[in-house]
Amino acid sequence: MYKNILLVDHESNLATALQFLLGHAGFNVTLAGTYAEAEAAVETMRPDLALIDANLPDRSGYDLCQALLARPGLQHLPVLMLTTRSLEVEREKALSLGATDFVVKPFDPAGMLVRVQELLREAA
Amino acid sequence: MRAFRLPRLRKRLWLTIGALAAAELIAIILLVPLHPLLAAAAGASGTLAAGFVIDRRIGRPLVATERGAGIIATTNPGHRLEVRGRHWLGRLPETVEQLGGAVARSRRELEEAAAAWTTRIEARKARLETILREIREGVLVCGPDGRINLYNRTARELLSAEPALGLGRNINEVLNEGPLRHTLRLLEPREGGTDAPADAELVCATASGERLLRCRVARLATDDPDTAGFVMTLQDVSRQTRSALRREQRLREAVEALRNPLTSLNTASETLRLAQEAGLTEDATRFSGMISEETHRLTEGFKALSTETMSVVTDNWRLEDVHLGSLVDGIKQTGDSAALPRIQCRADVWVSAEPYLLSQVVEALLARLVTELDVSAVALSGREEGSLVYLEMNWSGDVIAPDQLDEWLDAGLEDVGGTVTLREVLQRHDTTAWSQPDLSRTGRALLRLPLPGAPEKVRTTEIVPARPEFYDFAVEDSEPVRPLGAEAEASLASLDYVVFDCETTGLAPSQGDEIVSIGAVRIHRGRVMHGETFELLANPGRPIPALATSIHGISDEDIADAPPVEEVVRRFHAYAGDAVLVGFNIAFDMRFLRLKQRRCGVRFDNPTLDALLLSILLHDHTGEHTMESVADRLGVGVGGRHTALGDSLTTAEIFTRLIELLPGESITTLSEAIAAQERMVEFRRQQRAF
Repeated sequence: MYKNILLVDHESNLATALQFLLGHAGFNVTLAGTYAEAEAAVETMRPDLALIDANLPDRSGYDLCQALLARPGLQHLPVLMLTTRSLEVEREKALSLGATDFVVKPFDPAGMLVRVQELLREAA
Repeated sequence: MRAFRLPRLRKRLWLTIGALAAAELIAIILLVPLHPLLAAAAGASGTLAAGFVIDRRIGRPLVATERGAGIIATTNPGHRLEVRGRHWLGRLPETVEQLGGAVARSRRELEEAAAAWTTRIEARKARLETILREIREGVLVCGPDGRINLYNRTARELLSAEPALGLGRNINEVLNEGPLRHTLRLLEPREGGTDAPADAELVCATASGERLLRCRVARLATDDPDTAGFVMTLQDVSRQTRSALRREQRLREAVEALRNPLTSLNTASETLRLAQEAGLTEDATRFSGMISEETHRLTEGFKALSTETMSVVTDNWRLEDVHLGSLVDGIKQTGDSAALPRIQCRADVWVSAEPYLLSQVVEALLARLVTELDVSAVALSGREEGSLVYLEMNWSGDVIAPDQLDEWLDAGLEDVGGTVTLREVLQRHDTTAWSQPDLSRTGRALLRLPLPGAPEKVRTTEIVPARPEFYDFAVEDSEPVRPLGAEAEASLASLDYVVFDCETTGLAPSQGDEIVSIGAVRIHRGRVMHGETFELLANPGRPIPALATSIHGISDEDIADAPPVEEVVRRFHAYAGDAVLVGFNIAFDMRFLRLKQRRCGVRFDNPTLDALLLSILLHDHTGEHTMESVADRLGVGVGGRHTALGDSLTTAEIFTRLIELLPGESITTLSEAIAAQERMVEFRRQQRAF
């Protein structure tokens, strides 16, 4: 059975390329560009993993992370935060706010795919 | 043999007593047998009548003479005695006035003798003042307790937003206390013989937070506790700090802006490979377009980062506001005159530059004109064009060929060991230089050197008087101020005062009358500090009645743009600090202030002294106590009457003379002065009740 991934990033080129990459690896990817779009998306799908950019145009990606984890049935959702900030404190912040892992852009797409697969395996 | 003659005063006194004795004798002889009570009454009436005559002719004139003699002896030798009507003192008042004249003459002679010494001391003082004035850094000298003893013009300019700045005020009221306290502790002599550092540097904000200052602090090494303390130099680093913070932020943003296109580029490359392997031509084209787009974004991001990186290089230079004309004057004075052409300079403009290196560049270019183009005279000018200032050298002769100028610019500057070239200095000012013909005059050539202008520069000479009094060396020699706890028992001469006056819309603050202006001046150790005045108009938030305007001259138009009363009261509170407040009929002004204090979030609980009450106390022989008459009595000139600052200054001069007279009434401390003042209030209240 295909695993559902919610990908939330307003960088449309990156989101499209990641969607293709993850789709090619056998995942079912739902795209959202904003906090609001992500909230709307989870009304109709149940993600097995979320990839969330920390800087969304309408609200913080960390807010979205916490909102998703607060939903019934999503308390153990693996969340991988994507950020452009490389400070060490950003990692601490992400993990403190409920994210499972944290990746600084730019990242290696192949490595990212491996990390997604690992997180899904750990969650299972 | 000369006949014995009694002096007229004694003769009159004995005649009065004799007449009284004769009258009483006659009354006893004639009336006692008939009516003893009537005889006693007649005797008593006679005594009273004699007493009345003696008081009118001797007592009152004597008191007026005594008071006048006090004024003559202490403050105003030219004072005319206020002895009115007929009296029996003979020539005593005239003699006292003549004595005053003699005192004045002696004083003049003494002053003349002192003048020669003063001139020499003044010359030294002027030299020191000039040095202090010309030092580019602000300089503050404080006593061991942190009280400010001295500061120069630059310090005043740097701390212009601090109302508490003034001689005798504590440095902690002017600068953020923590960093300075910490630094002073570092400089304290250490136990065990380890030497403390001679000086230390700190960065701290001003009390208002308006500026960030880099300060260097050194303790004054002296065995005399009265002259111990510390000296500080101040430098404004607000702009550098702010620009450094902005630069860091821009750099961080520029780096972060590269991360998204890089990530997209990486991912799109990977997906392109996958699409090509799978034979998905349409997807491959799509991802190929994506790669071009992200490459373009990356290029733009790189350009932005590059610009920011360049600004880091140039911003790290210590660029300062430099007056170009002064810089050229410096070259003329210190440069090797034999190697330089005759220079005619017209450059009253400011540039943002590293002054020393720029002067080296200008000097080197001028020297090259002499040695290589045989130029003997150069007209040097500075002209503002937009944000740039064009430094132009103009001479009679040929232009400098581009190759030749390149050679000049690539040479090292001798005074910095040849390690820095002229071109590098120019590049770091974001500029270059070129030579061209002077199109307006045939046969002449130009060298043009654009420099960043300093448009925000304010000419200090416009805001500071030529010879301000705020660095008065005399105050350093005075006794140190006692701790505030001992204020009540401190001698009046040693205290700090703020003399103030309010102009208002009317006389009834409880019925809505408001302050329209506050003027004030400090008195520090007996000296009126004309350089430390306070004067602000206030917007009362209501029309000023025509009657009030006719008195103080302040109209609605004048206060239209003035800050609200609350703001002015708050600033005056900061200016006054913990000084003793002084006014002329101060109760009136205090009533206005105290009605405002709750809304302003301040409290005026300073001790107060009233020059009017003290005048009445000292000179009870007269009923003339208007500001003009008191000033006239004490030899004080009246200026700017009915302006808040003018009245404050007049009151301050009156007050300094009054405190010189108070010891004659055994009043030497603040508590004694306040007690005497309270007695006067009670006395006036009782007088009014009758």
